[in-house]
Amino acid sequence: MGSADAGRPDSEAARIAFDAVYDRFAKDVWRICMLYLGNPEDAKDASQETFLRYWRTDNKPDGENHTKAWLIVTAGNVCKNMLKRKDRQAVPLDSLPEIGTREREPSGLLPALQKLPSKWKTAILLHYYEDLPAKEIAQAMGVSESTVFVFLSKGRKRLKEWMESENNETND
Amino acid sequence: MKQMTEPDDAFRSQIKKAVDRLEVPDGCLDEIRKEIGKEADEDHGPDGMRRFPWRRVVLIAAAVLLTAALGVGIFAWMRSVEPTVPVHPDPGTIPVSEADASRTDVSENAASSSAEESEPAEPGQVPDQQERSEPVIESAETSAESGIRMESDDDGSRTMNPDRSGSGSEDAVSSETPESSDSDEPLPSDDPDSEGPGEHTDGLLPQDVSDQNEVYVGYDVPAERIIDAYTAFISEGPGKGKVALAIQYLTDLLPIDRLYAARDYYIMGVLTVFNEGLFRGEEDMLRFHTSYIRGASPETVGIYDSYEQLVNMDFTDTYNLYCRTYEKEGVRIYAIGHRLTSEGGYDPYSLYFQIEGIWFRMDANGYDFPDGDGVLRSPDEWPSGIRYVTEEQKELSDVSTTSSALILGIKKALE
Repeated sequence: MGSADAGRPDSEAARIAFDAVYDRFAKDVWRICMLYLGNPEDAKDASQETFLRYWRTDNKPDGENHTKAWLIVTAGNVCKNMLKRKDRQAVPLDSLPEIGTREREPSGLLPALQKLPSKWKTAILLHYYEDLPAKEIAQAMGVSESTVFVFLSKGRKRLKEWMESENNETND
Repeated sequence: MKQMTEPDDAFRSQIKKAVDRLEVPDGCLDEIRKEIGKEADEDHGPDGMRRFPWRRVVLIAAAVLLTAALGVGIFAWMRSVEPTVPVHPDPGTIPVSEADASRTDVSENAASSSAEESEPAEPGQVPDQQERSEPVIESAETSAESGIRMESDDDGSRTMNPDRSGSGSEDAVSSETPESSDSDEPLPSDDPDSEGPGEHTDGLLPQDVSDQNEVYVGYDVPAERIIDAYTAFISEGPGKGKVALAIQYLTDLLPIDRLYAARDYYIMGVLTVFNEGLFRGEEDMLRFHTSYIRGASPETVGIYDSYEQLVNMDFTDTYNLYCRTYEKEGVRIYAIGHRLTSEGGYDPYSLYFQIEGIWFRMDANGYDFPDGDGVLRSPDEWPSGIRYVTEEQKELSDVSTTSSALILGIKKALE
């Protein structure tokens, strides 16, 4: 944040706290946005919007897990809104040019993940990528714990089906 | 957290590897932080205190004013076409405008008819029994060609049903195709002596179709567009052929012919597709449906297998619902209706069905979607989601869990 804020009691503490959160989660948030939107520029915009919402909210989540869940769920919502607003299809990740040095995707998991319904995707990412327990995911997503298990189970099943069918196609 | 199993662990590791491969471009995070910094600076004044967000307030106020101005314009335009096109909040009843009422001997109903036009009806909400039942009786007296029949029960009460079978029956809902009665009478608007727009020279259809279409400028959706969307959904959506079958069957059940017969305009319904897992079963579906109906709860909904069973229930609440189940080709359909009168008049309202684990709902009265206020809206104005009225409903679903809400509109061919 800008150095001009030094000595401003109201904003200083908030910005230090914000910076800590940003440093800790910015990369994850960008990746989540990228998964939703499939476009680095849009992912950047969505990340920015997500963190701005975090900055502006008066009810900031407590604790690392809650903050993480809040950011991921918000990022998902921001991305969905962007997609809706722009009325466009997400570019499939497998059609993107390579960024940096990437190994070949084993069984195309990323594109499959991208195609998941958003709620399932959010649940899968929070649970398997961010290691959050179902209870906290449920709180963050505003659904019951059993619904989270349904999302996880269906998402996992769908991903496995896609990956298996892709493997079969490759073998054929 | 559930005990992690080995396969779960492997899956987790795969997910992590895959997502971590998304590399953040150099400098991207710094740019984002810089942008946020700029915005954050605007949020705070020189003293470091948070500023009142004047800019946002002004923008919101401007948007509100603009919307209000637009609303007034639309309202004025609506008023200008209203006399020729009565829009009725309830798809289960044929509109009885004041003009219609004055042309026919229904003066005692003019007030209630007028009241109906002005009072919004929410989806799933049944207006007051008194207001609701009288126009039904008066307006539903229509010609055989319209496909609308009035059914007279033994006690003299009547029930409106779309008639496709042409055969008589005492049981309005016990068969899949509701049947006719002996009491077919022409609609007030079918009076051959009546004049003005909407006049039915043959007792059924408007005389000047082009005028009717002009009236609906702004509401009209090209039939091709609707059919394209419909076809795309059927061929690509979940369930595919089965959905097509179910929709065909639903359109048979819905009382849409009444609207068709009354006016030549597109019948609009909304097909909502709920994401998998939203409803675990019938109970969830009923809870969802009743959550936005005043005075209703799953407990007030009964699944009845016969019309007699329904009419013999001791209903004291106008808003009681009933659910009638139908089954065809392996697709079970729940028709949730409202009890219109103490004599057991009914109005099929929402039809839910489940195909391969996915729930669908089709509403006949989507024409006033999403506000349910009886105002006919172009499908262009409908959001791609469903309407939420209560917090409970929000919890059960939200826009993001509704994968699509497809507009169905079928142009009635004038014959």
